[in-house]
Amino acid sequence: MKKINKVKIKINGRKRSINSKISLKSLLSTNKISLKKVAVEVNEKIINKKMINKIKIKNGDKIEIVHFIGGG
Amino acid sequence: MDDYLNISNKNFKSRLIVGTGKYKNFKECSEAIKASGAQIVTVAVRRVNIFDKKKPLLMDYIDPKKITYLPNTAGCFTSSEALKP
Repeated sequence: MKKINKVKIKINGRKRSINSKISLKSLLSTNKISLKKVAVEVNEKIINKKMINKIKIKNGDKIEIVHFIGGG
Repeated sequence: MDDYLNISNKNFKSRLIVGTGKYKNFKECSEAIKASGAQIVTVAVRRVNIFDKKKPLLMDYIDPKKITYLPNTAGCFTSSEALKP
């Protein structure tokens, strides 16, 4: 049986274990998060949405997905 | 002569900037913004609840292509608090 490699990451402060070699874009689509409505930060760097497909998730990555809410 | 507020090559007819907090719901907020004529609204930035995607979003009610979002740090005292509720 083929072994699936997993990586441990943090999404919005919560620990998650996901398949390795997954792109950031597919991570968002798997979680049904619309890219148009959020901003994404990986390891404290804001991600250019045009590059999101090229970014692969690595072990220990800290991902923050934020959006706008009413306030102020 | 037309008098516009120009910020970063964007012209705004209205100089009124309104908040998006404290409304009963997003519908009421959207209607109030429309009635005010404001073209800029202040918004807060928070983490997406990835486990509750059914929750309505502000962007579903206030089109960011028509209304400019001005993010603020409502309720935050440090830069890290601004992103981490």
